[in-house]
Amino acid sequence: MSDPTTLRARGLDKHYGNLHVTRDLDVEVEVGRLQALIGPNGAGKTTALAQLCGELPSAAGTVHLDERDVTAINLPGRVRLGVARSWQISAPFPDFTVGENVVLAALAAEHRGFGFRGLARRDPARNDRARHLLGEVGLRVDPATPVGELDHGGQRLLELAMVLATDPVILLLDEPMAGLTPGEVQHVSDLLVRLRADHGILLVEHDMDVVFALADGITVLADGAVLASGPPEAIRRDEQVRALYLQEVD
Amino acid sequence: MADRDDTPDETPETGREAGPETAAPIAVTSRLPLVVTVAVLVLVAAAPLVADAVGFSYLLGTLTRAVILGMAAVALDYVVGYGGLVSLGHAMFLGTGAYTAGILLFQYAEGTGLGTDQALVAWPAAMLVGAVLGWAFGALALRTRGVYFIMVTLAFNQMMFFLFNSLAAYGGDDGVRLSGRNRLGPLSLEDDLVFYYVCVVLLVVVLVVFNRLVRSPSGWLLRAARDNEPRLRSVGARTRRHQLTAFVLSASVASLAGALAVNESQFLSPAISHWTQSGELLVMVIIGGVGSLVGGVLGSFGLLVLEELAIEFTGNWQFFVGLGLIMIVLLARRGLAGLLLGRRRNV
Ligand SMILES: Nc1ncnc2c1ncn2[C@@H]1O[C@H](COP(=O)(O)OP(=O)(O)OP(=O)(O)O)[C@@H](O)[C@H]1O
Ligand SMILES: [Mg+2]
Repeated sequence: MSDPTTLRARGLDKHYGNLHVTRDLDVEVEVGRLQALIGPNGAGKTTALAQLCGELPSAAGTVHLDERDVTAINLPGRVRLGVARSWQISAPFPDFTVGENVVLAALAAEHRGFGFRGLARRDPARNDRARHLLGEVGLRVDPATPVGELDHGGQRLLELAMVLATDPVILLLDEPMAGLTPGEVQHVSDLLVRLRADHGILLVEHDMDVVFALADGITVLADGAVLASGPPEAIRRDEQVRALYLQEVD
Repeated sequence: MADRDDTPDETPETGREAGPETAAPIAVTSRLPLVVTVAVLVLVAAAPLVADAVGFSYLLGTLTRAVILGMAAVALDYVVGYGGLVSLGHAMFLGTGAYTAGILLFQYAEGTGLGTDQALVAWPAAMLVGAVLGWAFGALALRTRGVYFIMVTLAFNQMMFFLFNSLAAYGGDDGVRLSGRNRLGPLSLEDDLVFYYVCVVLLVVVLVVFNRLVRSPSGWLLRAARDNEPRLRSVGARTRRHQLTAFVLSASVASLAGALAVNESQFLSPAISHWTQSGELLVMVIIGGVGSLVGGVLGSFGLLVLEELAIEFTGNWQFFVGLGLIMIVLLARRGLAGLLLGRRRNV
């Protein structure tokens, strides 16, 4: 099976009781492109990602990977097809070390059988890859560090390393840079630029400098619906978007 | 060290190659859990000899039951301590194993229906039936979590208890006395001491298997699912599969313990599958140390020997057993194994 190249969602809808969280949402993530998904707090960005990766069922709409309809495929199934999502709130596994968390994510994505054979900690190739990914995201700590000793920024970076450990093609990143130092933000930005070459990236991000520096396209969400979508220059000039953001960013 | 032959992934990705100079271990591991496990097993092996030397040889039956229930408690700890799935139904698997081996033995003696006195047939059969039931009940119970999981496993336990009670051909709720134990090659299981050491050898095998399992990919995924199941699914794990296989293995080993138990007592009775026996297994796991495996053995010896001594020396033994349990829970929050392991986990 060849790797997919495009994740395409059409008409996604989601309600929480009376609250209409996402409305008739169209999103497209393509290998070689970084699409930003922005919008005010509560616009439905996290919900949209959860629908794209299969964590939340949609009331309506379809998700396709290339020509394949994956709407009915559940979360672990979509991860195995190459779609992975990072969490807005870091949640590494407390019972495992930093390095073990990355190995665990790789194991989770790769295991097809029962997983009785072998010792999880004793696969040199997988361990090497975990160390390598920690270096890639810029988390320079001893891999044997308990996760509880990581600061907030460290946990954000570990989250990113865990997502990459699943060997994804389509990356859905929920504010991966929130709370990082400027140096770390720069490092992650550089990493995303490198990853873009052979990944499709959907980036939820509040920092507009980062968004305009990285994005090939921007989708603006307001009240669960797409307010505008297009190349960065068009979005920067869009009147409605300016009106939405002038009160916040200025 | 770099044996790359079993690299799990065929598709190379940017920067897959890692520098060998960065080969810091991903965890600091400790031999302490292994040392404690071996030490406990040495004590278990020595126990009948010591009991004999100090004039407590009548305790051999109790010690045998402690080994057998300890085996079931180790199996229960795998799902409770590592899987976070609190089963209040494991006595039904004790009953399943007891009734599988017991009925085969009974029918062999009576010359009616399917029967065998061969341990090498009856005990694996008990494990197989336990696994099948574990799969069926586990698949249903795993639709729930937390308190609901406790209630569902308890309900299944009661169902099986009433089923065993209704088996009129095998004594119904009175049970039925068996004419002897299983036969195991040249070994004479009728000899209590030989039977004890056969149980100890099986306990060693069970501990080796579960210690290996918690370190396998499946064991890691089970443990991670306990702490944050949605997060683990979001990196691709089919968590239910690992929880179900853990439950099936646990049920199968508990059934083996049931088959051994009916050999020990030579009396087939539904009492072994009463839900209070499930509770007692859980108590063993808790006082022994949740998530340590070897704690199951410590808990069962602690509880059964404490009961026996309290009955011997005091009138109101239940009071003293209760007091002992409260002391252990208060003084050793991680159970008896926690006293020995300190902050080290058996993983
Ligand atoms: N499980 C839930 N139950 C009820 N309402 C929810 C639930 N999850 C989210 N919501 C609501 O849905 C709306 C969209 O939430 P969502 O988390 O998708 O927003 P967001 O765009 O990611 O916001 P932020 O920028 O703060 O992360 C919010 O009003 C939120 O309160
Ligand atoms: Mg959000």
